[in-house]
Amino acid sequence: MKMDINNKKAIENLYKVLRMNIYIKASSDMDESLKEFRKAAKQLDDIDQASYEKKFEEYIYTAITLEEEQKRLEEIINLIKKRLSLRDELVKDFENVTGLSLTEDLKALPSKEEVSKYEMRLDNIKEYLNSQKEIEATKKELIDLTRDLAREEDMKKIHEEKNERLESELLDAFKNAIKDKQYVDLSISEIDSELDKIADRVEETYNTKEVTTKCVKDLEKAGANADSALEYKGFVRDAELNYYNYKEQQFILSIYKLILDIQLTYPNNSLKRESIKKILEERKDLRKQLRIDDHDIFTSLTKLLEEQSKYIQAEKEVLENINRYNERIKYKENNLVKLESLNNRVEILSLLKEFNLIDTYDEEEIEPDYKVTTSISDKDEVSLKEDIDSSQIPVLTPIEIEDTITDNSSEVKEEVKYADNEIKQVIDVPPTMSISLATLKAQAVISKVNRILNADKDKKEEVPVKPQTKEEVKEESKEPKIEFDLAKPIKDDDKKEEQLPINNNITSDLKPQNIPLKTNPIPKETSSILLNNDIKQNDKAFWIPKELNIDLAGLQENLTNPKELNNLNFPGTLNTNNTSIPTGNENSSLKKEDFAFTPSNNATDLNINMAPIGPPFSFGQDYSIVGQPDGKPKSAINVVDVNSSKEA
Amino acid sequence: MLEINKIITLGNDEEYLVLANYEKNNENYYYIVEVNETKTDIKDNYKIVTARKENDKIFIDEITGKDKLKEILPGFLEIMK
Repeated sequence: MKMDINNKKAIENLYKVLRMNIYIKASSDMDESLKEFRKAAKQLDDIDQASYEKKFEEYIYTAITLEEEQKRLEEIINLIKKRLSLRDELVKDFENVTGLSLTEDLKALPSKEEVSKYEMRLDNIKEYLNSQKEIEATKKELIDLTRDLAREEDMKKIHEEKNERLESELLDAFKNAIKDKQYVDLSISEIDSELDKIADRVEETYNTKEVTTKCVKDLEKAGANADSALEYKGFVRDAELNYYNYKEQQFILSIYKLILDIQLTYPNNSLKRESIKKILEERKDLRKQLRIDDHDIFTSLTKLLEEQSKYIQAEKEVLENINRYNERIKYKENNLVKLESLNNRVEILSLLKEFNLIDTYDEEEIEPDYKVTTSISDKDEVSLKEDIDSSQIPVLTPIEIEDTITDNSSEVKEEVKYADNEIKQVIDVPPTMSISLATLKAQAVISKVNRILNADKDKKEEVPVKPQTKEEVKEESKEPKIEFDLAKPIKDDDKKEEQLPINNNITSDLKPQNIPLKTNPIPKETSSILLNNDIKQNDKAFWIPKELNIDLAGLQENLTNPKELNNLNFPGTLNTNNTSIPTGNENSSLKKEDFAFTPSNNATDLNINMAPIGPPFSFGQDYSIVGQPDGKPKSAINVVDVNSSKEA
Repeated sequence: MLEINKIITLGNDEEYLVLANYEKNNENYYYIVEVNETKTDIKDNYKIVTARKENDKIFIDEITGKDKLKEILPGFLEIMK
């Protein structure tokens, strides 16, 4: 980890240096600088990509709950957006500095469509979870409102029961007030009859009063004497009292009629009392006008009415509360229906089914999440209610296969059998699958297989070399061939076999070969080959042991015999034990002394630049020599490690 | 015949993601990879296949044989870059 950080830091530093270099045109070889700059940019991107992929893999799992899935998707989306942002910054910076595009060199990243798939899934989950919270809150409120409503309904019943008592009290108070009068036990119809009779009398006496009053006033104005005036005033008073007498009867009968009309519920009981109050007010005014001072029989009744009005007002509030609660409950219930209908959308239902929150859902309301082409024989794929006709089942998709499959859903009565290699269904990739990651993995596999196939191809195309005579060796000295047979497994105590991917059908015909693809500590009696880069570094000749070119049979034998194995030294590695030239061939006439190669017991003393000190080309006629008289190599030999990341 | 970035289900209930399509000599080759049951990841089972239509049904045929693969794989490598 620390090494990775340091490596990234080093590349970032290089990038910065190159960037400045190019920016101020400091470099003498701009092409080279640009090339290195591009390379550094790509390396940075590769590091970011590797980090991103590693992090992404942590989120490839199946969440158990929706909350967990929400969190997972949020992390994934953030991760992808950060990655895209980093890429964008790098590309823009590169283009700003160089004016060139970088994107074609870089690996593909998740597309906007992929990100939007994740976002859509996340939105659906959030919507569902939020609506669930709201549904829960609404249900709780409904419970509270229902409870309050019930309480008010109880109050209403109490009031209704008490209203009966109020009516009774009112009637008793009235009867008590008029007990001396003759109207105590009248019925409503009798009261109506009496009122009709009294109405005329009231009118008559009123007219009499008015006329008498007017006449007396006129007489007073005309100058009637005092005795006459007093007498006349007496006439007026009598007329007034006569009028009031009938009016009082009218009042009493009117109030009586109202009281007898029992009202047990609001607002009628309230309206009744208001009417009674109005009559009492009119009576009070008349009494005041006519200067009637005797005891008012309705004083207690008036007081009772005031008390009862307060109680009836409370009943009014209860009834208003009941109305209010009913309205709120209705509103909340409508809201609940709306929220629940939102959760019945296809996208939400499929999520719920995915997380086993529901068993099934009514397909009639559904447009399928994934596009399905099927002849609807596999009922495990689609949850159906028993009462849904197969003809109602939605089927097809816009892809090509749709045209070839007819919808026989209503006709299919038997299970359709498919061949193993027959396509029976095509669906869209779900958001849980990362296409870009899958592509990366697949790309790596196909690349590896291609390399192996080509390595195999190269080896098989080489002509097997027959044992050569000395003359033939000399003729071929300039272009030696190296070959090893991949057909037989090479055994080595320390070998690490690289296996091809398990169940890789592509390589089904290429059985993995037990090839030691990594370098191993080479036993003492092995040959070594210093390769091109060695030569380039040293500018010295190198030699190829005769055995590898000439004695193929010997090599084959060596390959199967780990103890006498002739390994190839790959560039950059050392044959730490090699202090001698191959002696596997018993026929070799060479001895150690023929080579001026300083033996060392310490592996660290050996380095890749060491080369024979002796005369470059006269090592003996048994060995082919590669190189020019001046020690510079003429041709290069490339050995490809099919499993290393780089070519030698 | 097969669409990229779709998941196909075969008669033996194996499910494959179609990753790439390469055309050569008027023949379409597809690079497919098996997906796991929960469709969250791929398995280590990759195939190169062709598709054919017979009696309104689609069949896939796997490409085996080193020589054929050697011809086709470089093409896929190129398009998958």
